[in-house]
Amino acid sequence: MSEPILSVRDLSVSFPSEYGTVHAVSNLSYEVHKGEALAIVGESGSGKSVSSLAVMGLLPRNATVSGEIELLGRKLFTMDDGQLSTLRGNTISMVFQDPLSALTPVFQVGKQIAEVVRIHHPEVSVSRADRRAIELLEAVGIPEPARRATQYPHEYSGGMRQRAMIAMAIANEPEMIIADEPTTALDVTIQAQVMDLLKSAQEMLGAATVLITHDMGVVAGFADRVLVMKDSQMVETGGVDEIFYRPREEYTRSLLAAVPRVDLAESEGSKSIAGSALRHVADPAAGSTVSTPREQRPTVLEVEDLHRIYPITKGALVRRKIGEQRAVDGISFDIREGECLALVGESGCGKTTTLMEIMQLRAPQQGAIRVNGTEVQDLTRKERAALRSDVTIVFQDPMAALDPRMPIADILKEPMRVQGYTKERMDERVEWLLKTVGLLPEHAARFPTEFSGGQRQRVGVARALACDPKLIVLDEPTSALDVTVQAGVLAMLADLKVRLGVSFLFVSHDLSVVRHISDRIAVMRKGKIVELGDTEDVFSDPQHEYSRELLSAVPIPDPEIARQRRRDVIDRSAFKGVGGAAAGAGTAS
Amino acid sequence: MIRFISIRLLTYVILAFVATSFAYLLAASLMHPEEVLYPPAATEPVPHQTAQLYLNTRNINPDTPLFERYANWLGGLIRGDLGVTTGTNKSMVPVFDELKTRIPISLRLIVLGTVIGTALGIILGMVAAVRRDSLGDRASTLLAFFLLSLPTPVIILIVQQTNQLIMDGTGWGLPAINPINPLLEAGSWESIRYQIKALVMPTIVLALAAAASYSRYMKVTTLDVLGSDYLRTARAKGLTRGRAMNRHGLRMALIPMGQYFAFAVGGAFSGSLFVELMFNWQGIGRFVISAIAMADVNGTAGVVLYTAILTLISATFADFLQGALDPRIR
Repeated sequence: MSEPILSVRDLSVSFPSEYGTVHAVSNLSYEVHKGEALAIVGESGSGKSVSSLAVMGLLPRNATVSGEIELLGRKLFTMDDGQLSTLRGNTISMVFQDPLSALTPVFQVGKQIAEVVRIHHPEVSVSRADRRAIELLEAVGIPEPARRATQYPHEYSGGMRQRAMIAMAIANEPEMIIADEPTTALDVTIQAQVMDLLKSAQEMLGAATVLITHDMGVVAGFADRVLVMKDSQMVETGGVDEIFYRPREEYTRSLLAAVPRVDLAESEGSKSIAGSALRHVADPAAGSTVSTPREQRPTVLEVEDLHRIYPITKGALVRRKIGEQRAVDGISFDIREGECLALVGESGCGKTTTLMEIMQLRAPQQGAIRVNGTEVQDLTRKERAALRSDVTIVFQDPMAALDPRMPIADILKEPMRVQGYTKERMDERVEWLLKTVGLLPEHAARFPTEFSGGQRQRVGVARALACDPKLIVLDEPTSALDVTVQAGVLAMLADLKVRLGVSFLFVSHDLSVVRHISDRIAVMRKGKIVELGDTEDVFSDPQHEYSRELLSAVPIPDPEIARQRRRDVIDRSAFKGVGGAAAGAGTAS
Repeated sequence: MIRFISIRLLTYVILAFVATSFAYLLAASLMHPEEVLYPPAATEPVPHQTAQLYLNTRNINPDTPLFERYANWLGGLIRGDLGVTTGTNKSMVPVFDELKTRIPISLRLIVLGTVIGTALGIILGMVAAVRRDSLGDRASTLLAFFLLSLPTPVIILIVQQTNQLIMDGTGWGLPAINPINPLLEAGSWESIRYQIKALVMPTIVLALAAAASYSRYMKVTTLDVLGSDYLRTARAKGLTRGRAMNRHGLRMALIPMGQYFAFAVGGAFSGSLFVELMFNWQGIGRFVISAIAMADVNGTAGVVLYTAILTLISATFADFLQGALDPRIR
C-alpha cells in the first residue's frame, strides 16, 4: 500500500471546563491513503468533529492537544499558524456541517470561491480566478453558474450552498478532503445529491477523504473504511463491509440496529440486524392492534380541504399584496382511534403550518377541522380550552420545549392544573406518567437540565399524555436525537399507541423513521398531499413520482445496495476548465 | 430607489415636524415667560398694556389660547421663521439667526467627537475581542467602565486638569477655555491655529465618552463573529487568523454597529451640553440651557428642531452604512 496521506497517531484533545478537564478525544490513531474514503462514525459528543478540527489546526485556543498528526510526511503540530495556512484550502480542505452559516453572508459566492484560489495562487489574476469560480460552480452542478456566482449566500438554497462549499473545497485539487456532517442540515433528496457529488469529486481528484457523520446510511454508500467512535475513544475500525456485515463490537451492532431501514418490510427482518430493535417493539403492536376494521373505529381528527395562504406584502406605509404563499393548499385526511398517520415531506412543504392550524383549534381560512366529530369553528372559548386536553403536541427540540426553571413534576402538572384536576389526582398521575414513558417516579423533583435529550423527549411525551388525550401531534419528535436514542423513543411511542389506544399525527421529513410506527402515510409536497395510503402500500408500491423520489433518496445502511445506487454527478470537463472556461468568459464579460 | 428615498424623506419631514411640535406645545404650556418678566427685585410693576404688548409681539401671551399660539408659530415655521428669542432675553433676535451662528460652533465638535470616538471604539473593541483576556483587553475594559461610570463634567475636569499640569510642568499647553481668541485678528493664521488648538480638549472629552461605550458594543459583536462558522470556513480556506478577521470578520462585526452610530450622535449632543458650558463655547448646547432657564419657548423649540434633523441625518447615514456593508438589506 502507498504511503498514507494523513496519519494520526495517539491523538488526544482536552478542554478545560467548569467541571474539570473534558477529554474530547483520547488516543485516537488512524491513517488515510490516497483515494481512500474513511468514515468516522459516532453519536454527538463522541469527539469525531474535534478530531478533524485538530487535523485542520482549527481547534479553539484553549484546547490541549497531544499526539502526532502527519500530513504528507509533515508534522502538523510543529508548524505555526502561517505555515498551516499554506496547507489549508490547498493540500487539505474541509466541508462543514451547516451550509447556512458557513459562507460569509456579505460576499458574493463566486468571490468567496475565487478567494480560495487567489490565497494559494496569488499569481492568478482576479478575473481569471472569477472565471475559475464559475467553472467550479458549473462542475458541482449549479445551474446558470455565471449569474449564480454574483449572488449572495442568502439567495442560495441549503443544497446549493453545500455545493458551493464543495466547489470551494475542490478548487485547488487538494490531496485530502474532510467533510464534517456535510448533509445533516439538508433534506433527504438533497442529501443524496450532495453525497453523490462529494463521492464523484473525491474519485475525480483521487483525494483521501474523511467523512464525519452519525448516519450509518450515508456511510454505506461513501466509505471504504469505517472508524466507530464513542465517548472520545475508538471502538472499532475496519473495511466498510466488515463493519456492516460482521461488526465485532457490541456498540457498532447497536448503532447499526438503531438505523431504521426503508428498504426492508417487517417480514424480511430476519435477514438484517439493522432496525431489528425497532421491529421487535413494533411486532406486538402489530399483533394486538384492535381488530376492529379501520372504518368502524371512531374518527378522532378530520381535516377537510384545509387551506392556509399567506399574503406576500410590499411597502412600509401602504401595504400592497403582491403575491401569495400557498403554505397549505387544500389538504384532507382523517385519523381514526388508535391509528398513527405519518405526514412526510421536505422542509417548506407545509407540514408545520398544517400542525399549527390543527393545534389552534380555530376556524381555518378555508376548509374544516373536526375533532371527535365537532367542528372547531363552532366551539365556544370554554369548549376550546377543554378540547386542548384532547389534542396535545410533542415538539421537535426537547432542549427548548421544557421550561428549564420548572421541575419535571410541575411541567407534567401544568396541563392538568389548567383542566382543573385535584391535587391528589395530579400526584398520582405524575407517577403513572413517568413510569409510562420509561422514567422513574423519583425523577419528578429534578430539573430538565439533569436529563439527556432522549429523556427530555420522554418528559415531553409524558406532558402530552397528561390529560388522557385522544390525539398526540408529534412534530419531528426524534430529529434532534442521536440514532440509538431515537430508536428508544420510537419504540416507546409504538408501545404507547398499543397500550393506551391513543392516535398519533407523526410529522417527519424522514421516511425511514415513520416506517415502523405509522399505519398510514401522507406524503406532502408544496402544500398538497400527493399520496395517502397504508404504510406498507406506500413503501412497497409508491404511486406518486415524488414518493418514489423520496424513497430512493433515503440512504440505506447496506454497502452493497448503496454502491449500486450511486451516480456520477460531477461535471469533469467544467472542472478541468475545458469549454467551461470559454463559456464562463463569454457570460461573465 | 428614487421612490424609496422620497418616501424616506417624507417620513423624516413628518418625524421632525412631530418632534418639534411636541417640543413647542410642551414648552409653551409648561414655561411661564410672563413670570420671569417680573423679577422680585423690580420696584414697580410693568404697566399692563406694556406687558401685553411685550408678550403679544413674541407670541407668548398666556391669555392667548395655547393652540392659537401654536398656529401662529406653525405659520412662521412654514415661512422658515422660528420666531424670536423670548423670556428675559429682550433683544428679540430671530431664533433662526441665533441657530445659524451657533450651529457651526457645535457641529464641528459633535462630528469630530463622534467620528474619532467611534473609530477609536471600533479599534479598541476589536482588539480587545481578538486578544481576549490579554493585558490590553483587561486594560481597555477597565478604562471603558471607568469612563462610563464617570459623569461627563468629571471627565472634563480631569482633561482640563491634566492639561493644566502639563502646562505647569512644560510651559506648553492647550487653551483652557473659549473656542476662539478675540484678541487675534479674525481669519489670520494665528487665529485659525488657536481655534484648532482650542478644539482638541473638547473633542477628546466627547471622543472618550463615545469610544468607551462603542468599544463595549464592538467587543460583543466581534466575539460573536469570532465564534462563527464562516470565519472558520475562511480559516479553512487558508487565511491566517489576522487575515480572516480583516477580510471576513471585520465587515460582519461592523454591520450591527451601523445602527449604534445614530445613537452615538445623540449621545455626543448631550455630552456637548456640558462641554460647551465648561469650555465656555457659545454653541447650541449653551444656548439651549440658557433658553430653558429663561423660559424661551421659541428658542427651545428651535433647538429641538435642530436636534431632530441631526438625529435623522445620522440615522440616514447609519442606514447607508449598513446598506454598504450588508448586501442582504440592499
